[in-house]
Order: sequence, then C-alpha cells, then structure tokens
Amino acid sequence: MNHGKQYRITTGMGLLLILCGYLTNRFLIVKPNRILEGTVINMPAVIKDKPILFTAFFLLLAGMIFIISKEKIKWYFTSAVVTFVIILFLYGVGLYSQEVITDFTQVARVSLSIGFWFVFLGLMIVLDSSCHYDGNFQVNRLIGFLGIILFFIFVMLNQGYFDQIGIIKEMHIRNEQYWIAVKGHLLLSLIASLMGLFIGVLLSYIGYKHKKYKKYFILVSNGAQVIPTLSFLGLLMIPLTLLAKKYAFLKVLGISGIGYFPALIVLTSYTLLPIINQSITGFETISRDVIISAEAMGMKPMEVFWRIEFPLALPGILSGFKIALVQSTANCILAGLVGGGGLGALLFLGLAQSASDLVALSALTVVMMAMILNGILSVVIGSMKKRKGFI
Amino acid sequence: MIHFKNVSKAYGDHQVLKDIDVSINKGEITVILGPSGCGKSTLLKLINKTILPDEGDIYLNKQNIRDIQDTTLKRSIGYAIQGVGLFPHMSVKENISTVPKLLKWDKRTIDNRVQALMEMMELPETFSKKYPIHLSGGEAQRVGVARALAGNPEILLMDEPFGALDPITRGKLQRKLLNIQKKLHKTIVFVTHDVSEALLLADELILMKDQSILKKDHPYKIVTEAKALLKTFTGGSFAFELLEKFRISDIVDQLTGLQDFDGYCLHEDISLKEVVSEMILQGKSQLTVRNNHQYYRLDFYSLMDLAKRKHYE
Amino acid sequence: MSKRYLIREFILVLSLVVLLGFEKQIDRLMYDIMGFQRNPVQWTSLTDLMLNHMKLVLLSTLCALLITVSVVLLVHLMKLNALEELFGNLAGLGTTFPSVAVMALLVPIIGYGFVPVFLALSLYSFLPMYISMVSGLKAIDQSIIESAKGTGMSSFQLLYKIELPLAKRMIVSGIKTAVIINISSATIGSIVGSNTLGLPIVIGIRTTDMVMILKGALPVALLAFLAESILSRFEGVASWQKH
Repeated sequence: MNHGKQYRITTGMGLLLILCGYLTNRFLIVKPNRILEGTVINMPAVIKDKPILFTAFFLLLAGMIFIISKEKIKWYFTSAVVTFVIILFLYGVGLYSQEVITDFTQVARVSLSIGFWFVFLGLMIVLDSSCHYDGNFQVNRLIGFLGIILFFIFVMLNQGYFDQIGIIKEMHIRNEQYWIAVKGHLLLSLIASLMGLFIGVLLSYIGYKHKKYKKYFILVSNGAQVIPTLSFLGLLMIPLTLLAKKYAFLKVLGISGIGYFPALIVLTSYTLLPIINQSITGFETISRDVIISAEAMGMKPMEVFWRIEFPLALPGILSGFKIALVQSTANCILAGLVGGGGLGALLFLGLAQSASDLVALSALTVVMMAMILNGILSVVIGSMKKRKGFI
Repeated sequence: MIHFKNVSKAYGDHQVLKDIDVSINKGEITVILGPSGCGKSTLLKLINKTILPDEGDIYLNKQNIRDIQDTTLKRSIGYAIQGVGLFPHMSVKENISTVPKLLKWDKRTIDNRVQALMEMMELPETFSKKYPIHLSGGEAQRVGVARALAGNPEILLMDEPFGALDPITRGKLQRKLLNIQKKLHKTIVFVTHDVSEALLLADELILMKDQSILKKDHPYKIVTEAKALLKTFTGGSFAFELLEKFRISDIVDQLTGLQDFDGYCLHEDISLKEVVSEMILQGKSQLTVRNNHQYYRLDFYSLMDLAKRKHYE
Repeated sequence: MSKRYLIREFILVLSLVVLLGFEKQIDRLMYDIMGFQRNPVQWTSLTDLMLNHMKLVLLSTLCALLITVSVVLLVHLMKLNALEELFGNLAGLGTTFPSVAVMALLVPIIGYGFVPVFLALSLYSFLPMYISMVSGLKAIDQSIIESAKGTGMSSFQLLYKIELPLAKRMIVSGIKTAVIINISSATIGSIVGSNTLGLPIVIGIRTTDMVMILKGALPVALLAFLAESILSRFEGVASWQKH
C-alpha cells in the first residue's frame, strides 16, 4: 500500500474543495448592517481585486508540483508553502474586507460565507495531507505549522486586519458581553465536568469493588444520555421552580428553575457516562497481582486506593474527563435557553435577531474552546502515560 | 515458630483445608509441595492473614495471630508471588522501598537498604530508575524478592515465585535464594508443585494432597524412606535435585586426599549432579577431582551418602 | 429475558398513547380544574407534533445511513486508508460542533423550518454512524478475512457475506446512537422552526407554563426510551457469538 499515493488523493480532495469554494457564488457577503441580506461576492471577483490572492494560489499550485516527488525535504517544503498560502489567503481576505467597507459607521461588515469556509477547510486538508507524505504522521510538524498560522492570525487580529469581518466585528461590538459569555460558558462546563468527575470516580470505584452495583450505575448514566437534552432541561425546571418558590433561601444560592442550576444538573448528568465507563475500565485493567502484593504488604484499603489503584487508573479517568469536558462545552450552549448565560445566550440572541455573524461567532468560539481543551488534555494524558512508564 | 492448630478452611461447600496441624521451624526453608488444588497456597495465605481460617488457630512465636493487628502482621512478613505484582507506576527503587516507607524509616536508611538489596539480588545500579515494564521476567522477580525482603521481615512467604520463568532463569534464581539464605537465615515458607524445585530448596519438606498434610520431614529422609509417596507426586528421578545442592568443595572435608596423581581429573568445582553426569559420559564409576591443590577420588556409590551427611551438619 | 423488554416497551407505548390521545382531556384537567394558567397560543396538536418528530428522525437517520454506507463502501472497498483517516478526523472534529449551531448557521441560507433541521441532523448523525461502522469493520479478526480471501471471494462478497454480519453489532450500535442523537436534536430543532415536540417545551420555558413544558418533555423522553429499548434488542448478540 503506497502511503504516498493515498495522501495525494486526500490532497486532491482538499484541492477539489478549494475549487468548489472558488466556483460557488457565496464566497463573501458584503452587508450594510447585520440584518440585511447584502451583496454576495464570489471568489474570482475578490482575486481580481486583490492580486495578492492570485499570488497565493499560484504558489499553492506550484507547491503541488512537489507531490510528484518522493523526497522528504520536498514535501516538508510543500507544508511550508501551504502554510504561507493560508496566511496570505487570510491576509488577502482581510485586506479586501477593509477596502470594501467604505462606510465607517461601524455597522457595515463582510460576512464569511460557504465559499470561504470550503476554501479554508480545503487548505487545511492539504496541509494535513502534506504532513503525511512520509508515510507516518508527523504530528509535530503539523502542530508546528498550525502554530505559525495561529501566530499570524493573532498578529493580524491585533493589527486590525480582520476588523471588518462580520464575526470579528460582532466580537468587538459586544466585547465585554462576549468575554463574559466565554468565561461563563467555560466555568459552567468545567464545574459540571468536575462534579461529574467526583461523582463518577466515586461510583466507578464502588462499582469496581462491588460488581453487583456496577450495572446499575452504568444503567443510570446511560439513561441520562438517552433522554433528549431539551426534555431533561424542561423536566428539571418544574421541580426546581417549585422548590425555589417554597424555599426562598435557595434563590440566594442561584438555585431555581431558571439560570445556571438546571443547566448544571443536566450537564453533570451527561458527563457521568464517559467518566464512569473510562474510569471503570481504568480500574479493571489493573493487574490482580499488583493489588494482592499491595494488600499483603500491609497497606490499608485507603492506602491501596491512593497509592496504587488511583494512580494506575488515572490515565483512564482523565480520558473520561476529557470526553466529558469536550461534550459539556458543546452541550453548554443549551444553557442559554434557560438563562444560564454562556455562549448559548449569544447564539440564541443572534438567531432571534437574524444576525448570522453573531451565531457564527458563538459557534466558532465553542468549537475552538472544545478543540483547545481536547488538545491540552490529550497532551497531559499522553505525557502522564509516558512518564509513569506504562503504555 | 509458626504453628497451625486444627485449622480448617472452606469456600462454600468446597473444603480447602481439613484439620491441619503443623509447625514450621525458624530460620529454615520449609517447602510445601503438592499438586494443584491441594490447598498449599491457602495454607500460605493463612500465615499473613490474607485469608482467615474457619476453625483453628495459627500461632506466631507463641502468639495467636488473631490478636495481632492485620497491618502490623503483614508489614513484618514478606510476600512474593508468581505474577510478582510490581507496581507499574513506580520505579524499581520505589517498588523496593514500599514497605520501609510504610514502616516510616528515614530516607538514608531506606536508600542504603535498597542499594544493599539490589546488590544482593545482583541487580545493576542502573536498574533503580527503571520501570517494571522494561524488565524481563527474571529481573522482575528479583525485584519482587528484594521488595519482599526490604522491611527485614523474619518470615518470607513465597507462592510458586519462579513458576512463570524459563528453566535457566528459574535455576539461577533458585540458587540465588539458597545463597542469600546462607547469609540471612530467614524463615522461608515456599509453595510449589515442582518436585525438583522442592527437593533443591527444602530444609524441611511438607507433602500435601487432597486438603491435608501427608508427611513432613527432611527431604533426604522422604526420598529414602517415603519414596513411594513421593512417586505419587511425580516420576522417580529426584535424586539429582538432592545432589545438586552441593558442590565438590562442600564434601571434600569428608574425604581423604590422594598423595599425588597422574592422569585425567576434574578441575572445576561443579555440583555433585554434574559429577554423576560426567561419570555417565565417561562410563566410569569413579572420578578423580582436584580441589584446592589436593586430589580426591569420588565414588559413585557414596555420593548420596556424602550429600546427606553434609545436609545434616 | 425478552419478556422484560416487552413489558417495558408496552408500558412506554401505552403511556405515549395516553398522553397523545387524551391531550384535550389532560389540557382540561391541568388548566381548568387544577388552575394552571392557560397560554393563549394556537398551535398544532401533540399527535401531529409527534408524527412530525418521528418523520424527521426517520428521514434524517436514513439519509445519514445512506451517506455513511456510501462513504464506507468507498473507503473500505477501495482500501483508501488515508481517506478513512481523514473522514475519521473530520468526524471526530464534528462531534465537538454543537448541533444547534449547525442548524442556526443554515438558517440564513436555507431559512427556517424542516429543511435546515433535516440537513443538520443528517450531517450530525452521520458522524457516530461512520465511526461505529469503521470501528466494527476494523475489529474483525484478520485471520478470518484472510481465510475468506483464500477461498477466492471478491472484495464485495467479502464485505457482504463476512465483514458486515460480523460487524453487525457495532453497526447497529452506531445506528442506535444516531437515532437517539437525532431525537434529541429534533427537539432542539423547534428553535429554528421545525414543528416537533420541542415546540411546547420552548414555548413553555418562555412563558413559564409548566404544563406546556411537560406536554413536550414527557412524550419525547418516552419516545427516546422506547427507541433505545427496541434498538437495543437488535443490537443483541447473535447465537454464534459469545461475549
């Protein structure tokens, strides 16, 4: 199986996607304000206006010549070229948006449409493929180049090149609101995941020590996954509202039918299944001989747990926590429906006001957060496994 | 030192031990030999309270172990098992230090102890930072034994510790155990189903079958007097293991040296088992050996006797 | 064993029928007799909402299944591991993307109603189905495949006669996950205008009408458990597998 050949196919798919982005009408949309439909611009028009983009894509095609080659250095070069192209592409779009918006009333903006995203995704696929050419996946290379791209995005962001892009504009307009939403969202997901971690590990340990309870715990956590999120939320609101009416002090703590509390309960319940599943597996893969030795040495049950069972199950537990955190970040959007704040509130606001840029901003922020958290935790788990000397 | 009095144990309707009454002497290697399922492992586990008896009492130095606190008891008894059970997330050094740390020794004492044990078990210094996953079976078991001895326990319990190793490594470790016992004089209770291993290691041999003890005696006595019984455990070629316990240098003090000699003789200080092997190869019932600038004549028919006398010294 | 399932399912179905069939009576009980505040909003009957919901879930699951099967056939038969990895990565990435967002983003392009939700659901449920199907096929013991190839089977026959039946459990598991996700997402879809059981929940939340919330939340929860129960049975172990 020729690995090189296959990655040429994926590169081809990436290029195909870019072509789709080129051919479609909806590349960018120039809108006089956040609500009106605006003028749809296609990619050729933008390229005509900004020769830098033309250069970028010429470079891209030139870089593709190296696909034919088999030498390692040349493919490394392709990755570098694609990175450069991506940066130029973003820069070009930014510049274009700056020039097109002649009205500085702060409401007009350029929205990124499907065409843009196709091209962007296509470029990412090509970059990813170019880091595979050697047959094995050069993770470090990919991360390195992605880092470079992120760095330049950050710089361009700071310099204001993207200021006229709809998403960024919304962020600037609602700056304080946005960051409060981000913090609230992160906090809620984190707290829910941590609560789930505590409860989940506890239940997992009990289920591991006493097998007869195990299936009940798994059944309950599975049930929490089956019930539709909105239904769960709604069903919780009823008793909580009634409770809050009866016991006024609960309102002080923020516990009522609306606000963060019902969302917190729902989110925590959803984290139970991944955490319990992974934690139980983590405990069960510990060799019996290890436990026998530990007990025979005169370790008390608590000592066996803290010194032996918990550290050995930790990678598994953290994997479950990682999944839980990523899922919570995505699910937390629904908190916005019941007044729990977070990016969901912004998303629904955007939906209600037909401001697609606000919706896109919220959605993208959630995805970014999820990916970053996923990345951080994966690295932590990986290094933990390596350091502790077991696979 | 360890006394079992009318001890019985059952799991549900399955009787594992029936009215066991036996004593284990101090400072010796006592081997419990028996086929799978005869209850020998259970007997071992009763000593450090891993399992509790249904009936009967177990005494340690005249004290009923029921009255000794579990953790105190376990920390004063070393335990080595077949699967070793090294803690995967701890280095070799940390593994060995486990019991000393539980006993709250100070750091310097622990470090010295670990070093001494690693030297004794012939583990190179570079191993102290290694993790169990990088060790071979033999190396892991060496660490396991070191770990069991770390707290300087009086008693060492071993449950078929060398069973999972290849024959060569097994042999090395068996000889290692005999070696360190010469220096340490621990009370070792060793469980196995391998007759050769039992005969090689035992100062005292306990034969178990069908949940009860059949015989307890010196291995040489059992071999000569209870041969039929022993044969029910295995085939018959067990004399070699007894001969393997001693080398030429061990028995020469019982022999008179020759004045001088010309001709073929064995120079190396090999075990008596190898001497017999050499005799068979050469087709001779007598061989001349050289030890410490002296020549001695070894006779095939008297070898067993010499070994037995050495054993009883 | 199977009797337990049947009893459970029977109770669920019965409860559903009661809730839907006697909607008007329940309305009267809750609002008029027990004194809950009635909400003067004209809307579709529960039964219609339920049917809409089921229609949406079924169609989108089928659509996703079609896409999944095509992609898997393409990737598996043509042995394009690179593509498999690519789709796998994209699928993994996709699960971090909240389904609400997909629906909301489609609105400016397609508008409100059935279509954006249908598209979002199809795309979104494709991900777990794809991951399950691929894992299921990968988990088959290589020696079985090799001996089958040795008898001279073509790739297609191999897939049809050997691989798919062996991977059946994981595939059905993927379908089950997809259905459950779709039921949940279809509920959320009411926010972008699809007439499903999420509608009373959303209205109820906005107007703090408890009865309205229950009207939507209970049937959809029952539906979800019912679907899970039925599909779990199909996931069951075949007689020649021992787990």
